[in-house]
Amino acid sequence: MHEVNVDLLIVGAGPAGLAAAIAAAEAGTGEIVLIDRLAELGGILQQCIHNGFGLRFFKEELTGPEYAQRFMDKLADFPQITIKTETMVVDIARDQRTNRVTTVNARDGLVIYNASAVILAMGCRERPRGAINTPGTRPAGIYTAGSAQRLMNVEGFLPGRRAVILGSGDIGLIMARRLTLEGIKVEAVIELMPYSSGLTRNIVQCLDDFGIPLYLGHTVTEIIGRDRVEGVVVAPVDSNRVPDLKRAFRVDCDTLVLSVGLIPENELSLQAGIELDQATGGPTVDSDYQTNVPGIFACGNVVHVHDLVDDVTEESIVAGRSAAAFVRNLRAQRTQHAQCAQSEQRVQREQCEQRGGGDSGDSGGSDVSSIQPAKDAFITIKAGRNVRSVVPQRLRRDRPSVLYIRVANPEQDVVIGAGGLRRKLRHVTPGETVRLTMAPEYFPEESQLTVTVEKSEA
Amino acid sequence: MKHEITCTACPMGCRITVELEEPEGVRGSALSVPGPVPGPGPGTADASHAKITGNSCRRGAEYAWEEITAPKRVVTSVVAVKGRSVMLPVRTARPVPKQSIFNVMDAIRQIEVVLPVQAGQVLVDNIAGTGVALTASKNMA
Repeated sequence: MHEVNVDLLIVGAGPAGLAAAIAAAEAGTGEIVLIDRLAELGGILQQCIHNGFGLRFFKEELTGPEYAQRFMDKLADFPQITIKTETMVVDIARDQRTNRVTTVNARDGLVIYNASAVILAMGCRERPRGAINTPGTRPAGIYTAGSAQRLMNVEGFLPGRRAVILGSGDIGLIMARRLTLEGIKVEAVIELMPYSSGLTRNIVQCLDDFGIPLYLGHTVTEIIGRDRVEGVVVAPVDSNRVPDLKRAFRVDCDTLVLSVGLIPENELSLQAGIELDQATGGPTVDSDYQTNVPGIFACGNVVHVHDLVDDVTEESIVAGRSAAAFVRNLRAQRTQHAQCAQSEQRVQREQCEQRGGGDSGDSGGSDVSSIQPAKDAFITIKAGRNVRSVVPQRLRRDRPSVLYIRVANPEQDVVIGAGGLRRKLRHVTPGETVRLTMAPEYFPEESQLTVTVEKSEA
Repeated sequence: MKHEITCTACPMGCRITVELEEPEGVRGSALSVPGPVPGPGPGTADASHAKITGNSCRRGAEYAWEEITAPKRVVTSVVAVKGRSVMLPVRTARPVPKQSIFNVMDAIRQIEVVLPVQAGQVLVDNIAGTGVALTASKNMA
């Protein structure tokens, strides 16, 4: 085992980690370590072979691997970024001076990085069958959409011949098309809610194009089959989402694909003492994408599940720059402390300590909390009427911020209100995040801001 | 003739209505022309051919017009790689006519590439007679 001191360590080299690493390097951060558990960079983008990525960021429709490739090509310009693939981060612990990140891989064994700043970019995981407790037998042929996608697009296997897809989130819709293109009959897409949580373009291009039926307000109430799936029982649900078994019907199939939600992957965050938002499942962050633990930042799907990778890139650039600024400030403060310690004259030392604000007892040490903004520099965001979640959860008063707002229910002709800012929208739905750029002039005097979606009067 | 289209030009998903206002004799002629029909230029989208409403931008109008006259899609899939167990993701460089999607898929299934390949490298000049190239989506060595 050995220890390495670095400026910034990034956990996860998917779209979030890649963009954050490049942004931090561009902002002048010295030593950056980018860690991923897979052999290849790019994360989930490598199996998302469909197009539609980068419309906003690159003004082009790229496939997932192409989007990742753009960032991987750019990495080569920054020799200060060290890439560690096939490496697991097993623990993050915080002490007064540094973040101790324990990693393990087959080449180097156990390595502990002492990182001035950490960016969490672990992404999210799929909810499996156990998360929705579908009754029935336990045959082969039940896949999460992402596993089926990886089998088909990376490993080159077909998961079955006749499929039913439960859940109409984007991955479910994308897989309906992918299965169809490879000659697998998709009998139906079943959605519990009375609306799809997928992007409109995916409903048009993945279902409508191929005439695949979408059953809204239905669910799978039983899985049938001993060794292999032989069929599923589908039933409509009432407004409380209770299935009406009298109206149930059987659909024959050999494959059930589950696209029933994603959960940010925050085991490491919890180990590091990071506070999670119940609504998003990810860390609460401020305008800089800093968590409640000073020096630990988070971006991408680990914070909240995104509809568009462009949004991931945008917020990860903010996280990368913020981490770079944090490292810079910490260095400046340590240099100042060192100068103070060397100073012979008592008067000078006192002046130094007043300026630096250093309150720690250990000489030459730096408490990161002393370079944090004061509590009143923040506005806390609350979710009001028809708002499920808002990221970031804390706004810095001194800078603009992009708010990502997820509504609770679909609604027509609404006004989104946040502080002094009001925006009319013709249509909102939980499947499509509302992106609101907020300048400080719209911030309220109070320390709290409630974001609401109200019916438009006009 | 009236068409309801959900725009996919961007994530906004505008509901666009296209009303064709041709004289009786030529009604539907635009729809029966095989192959690509040139989309309307700026300002012509709601001129003599059609009345397009509900769009928020010019791209929406162009999309709606193309969607009812000559819909196109980018086709993405994977191809086998000689000597390797992983697949190489590929795409059509541009959208192809919607009715040729399955012909393109059949042609893609016949391909086996030899490494190395670069993202954007042309693997087939003219896939399934569409006039559109098939390119690699990533670097693989």
